[in-house]
Amino acid sequence: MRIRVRALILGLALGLLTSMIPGLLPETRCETVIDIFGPSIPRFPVGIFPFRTPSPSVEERTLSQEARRILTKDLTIAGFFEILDTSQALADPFREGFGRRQIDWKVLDYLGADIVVGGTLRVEPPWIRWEVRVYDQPRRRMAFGKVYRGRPQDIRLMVHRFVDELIRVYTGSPGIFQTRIAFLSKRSGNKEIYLTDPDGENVRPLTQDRTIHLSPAWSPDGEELTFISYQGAHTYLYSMDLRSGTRRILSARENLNGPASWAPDGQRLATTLSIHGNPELYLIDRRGTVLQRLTVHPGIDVSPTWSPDGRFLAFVSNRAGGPQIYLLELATGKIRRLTYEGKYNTDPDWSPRGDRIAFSAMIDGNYEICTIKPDGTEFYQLTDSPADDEAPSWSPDGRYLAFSSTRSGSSQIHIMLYNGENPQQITRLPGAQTSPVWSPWLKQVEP
Amino acid sequence: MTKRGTPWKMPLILLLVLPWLTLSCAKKVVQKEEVTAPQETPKAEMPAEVQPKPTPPPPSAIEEETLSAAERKRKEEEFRFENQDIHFDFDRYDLKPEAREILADKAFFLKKYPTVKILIEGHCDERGTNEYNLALGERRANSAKQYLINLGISEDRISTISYGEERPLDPGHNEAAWAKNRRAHFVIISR
Repeated sequence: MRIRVRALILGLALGLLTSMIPGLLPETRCETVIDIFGPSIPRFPVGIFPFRTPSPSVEERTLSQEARRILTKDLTIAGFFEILDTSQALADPFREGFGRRQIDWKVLDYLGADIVVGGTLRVEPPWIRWEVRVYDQPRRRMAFGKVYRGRPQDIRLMVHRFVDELIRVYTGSPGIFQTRIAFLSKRSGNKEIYLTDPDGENVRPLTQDRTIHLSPAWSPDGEELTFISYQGAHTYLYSMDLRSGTRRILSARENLNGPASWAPDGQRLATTLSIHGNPELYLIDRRGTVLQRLTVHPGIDVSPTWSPDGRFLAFVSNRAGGPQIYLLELATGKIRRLTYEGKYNTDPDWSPRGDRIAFSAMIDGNYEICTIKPDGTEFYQLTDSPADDEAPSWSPDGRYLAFSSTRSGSSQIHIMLYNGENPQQITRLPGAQTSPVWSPWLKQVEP
Repeated sequence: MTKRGTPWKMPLILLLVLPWLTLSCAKKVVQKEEVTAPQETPKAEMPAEVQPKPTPPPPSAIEEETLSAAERKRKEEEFRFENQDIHFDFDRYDLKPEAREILADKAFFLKKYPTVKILIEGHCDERGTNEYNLALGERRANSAKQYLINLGISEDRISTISYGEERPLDPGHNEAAWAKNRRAHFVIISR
C-alpha cells in the first residue's frame, strides 16, 4: 500500500506520462501457460467486453472504445489469441459488478472464452483511470487485474503495457508492444526513416532530410539508431541519439559506409567499407575507428548480423557466384557457407534467441522469408506469396518477424510469428515502406 | 573580278588563319575556364564548317564563331559522356564488350580534357535486395573506374557512388526497365 501511494506521488511529482500501479487488485498467476515455441501455437479464445464508463461523458465513452479497439488489435497481432465477438453475449456479465459473486458466469460459459477481459474507464481530469481485469473463465476466478492512470493521450501506452503483461502471464515472457519498429518510407517521395509501434500506429518520421536513407540499425540499448544517408555525392554512416535527436557521423570514408550492425556489447559495430575499392567487412568502434578488417575477398561482403553471444557474424557474400549467407567466427576468422538452397539469399537477421537466422530468399522468381539454424539444418520457408517478402527483422523476444511485403500491392510492413503463422499487415501508408528493423527492449517508451 | 575575288579567296584565308585562331581562342578559354585545350589539334574539317557562311564576318565575329563551335563540340562530347551509360547483367559487375567500347570512348574524352573530374554512379534494378544492391552498385561503379584507370586515366579524377536500386532510370517493373536500370552512369563534376 505504501509503495503504491509512493509510486503515485512520485508519478505526479515527476509528471510521469503514465503511472502504472501494479498489484492493486489481487493477482493470481495463471496456471495455463502456453509454450509458444511448441510445434503448433495454441490460441486462447478471448472475450473483450466494452469497458464500463460510469459517467455519460462522451470523452469517457470515446476513450473506452479506443482502449478496447487497441487491445483487440494488439491481441490479434500477438497471434496466441482468438478474439470472440462479445456482442453475441446474451447480457453484460458485469452488470452487477466485477466481483466473483457478481459476475454472470453463465453468460460467459455461453460465450466460450477461456480468457475474459473487462473493466471500467473513468475520466478524472486531468487523468484517466483504467481498471482492467482478466478472468480465467474455466476456473471462474480472476487471473489478474491492473489499474492504470495517465493522461488521455497515453491511452495507447496503457493498453500496450496491459497487453505485454497479459502475454507475460499466459506465455511466460512479456509481449512486444512497448517496442518500436524503424523502417524506411517513401511517403514523402524521399526515403526517410520512420518509427511505428508494432501495431502500425503512432507512425512518425525520424528524419526529414529530403535525401535517401538506408539500413537503419538499433544500438542494443535502443538509444541510438545508425543509418546510411546520402549527402551530395557521398554516403555517410550516421548515428542518431534518439533522445536528443542529434546525430553524428560514424564513418565518412570514400565509397561505401555501411550498412552497419551493432555488436551485443554495444561497443563495436560490424560494417561494410570499401576502403580498397571493394566492399569488405570491418569492425569499428563507437566513434567509427577501424578496429579490424574481417574479410579479404574480391567479391561483395555485406549485411553483417551478430549472434546474440557476439561470437559469430552472419553476412552476405557472392564469393561463390550469387549472394549467399556465410558465417564468420570472430575469434578464428573462419568462414563457412550457411545457405545452399536457391541462388539468391540475402538480408540475414540472427534471432535474439540465437537458434535461427532469418533471411530473404529468391524462390520461383520472387522473395520469400526463410529461416535456418546456424548449423545449416532445418531450412524453413515461412512465406509463400507471389509478391516479394523481404528484409526480415526479429522482435527482441524472437517470437515475431517484421518484414516488408508487396502482397497488398505497394510495399508495406508486416508482422508474423516466428513460424510464419498469423501474418498481419501493420502499415497502410502511401508510397513504399521497406527495411523494417525491430527495436530491442526499450527502457523508457515515449507514448 | 576583284569584287568576286574576295569571297573566292576567303575560304583559303580562313583555312590558313583558322587553325591559328582556334589555338588563340582556345588559349583564351584556358585563362577563362582553366581548360588546357591546346592539346587538341584543330581538324581540317573545321574551316569547312564555317565555309557556307555567305558573307565573311569581320575578324572579331569569326573569333566569336570559332569559340562557340569548339565550345559546342565540347558540349556535345560532354553530353555524350554523361548520357551514354554502360549496362550490366543481373547480379553481375563484369564489363561486357559494349561497355568496354563505351569506356574506351570515355577514356578518349578524359584524355582530351585532362582537367575533367568525374563521378561514376553504380545502379541496380529493383529486383535485388537493398543492401546487397548497394554493394553491387558500388562494385559496378568500381569496375568502370578500374577499367578507366587501366586505360591511363588518373585515379584521382574518378570518384564513385552506389545508388543501389534507389534511383531507377525507368520506373517500370519489366525486363526492359530492369535492363536500363542495371547501369553505371557518368557525371562530370568539374570541367
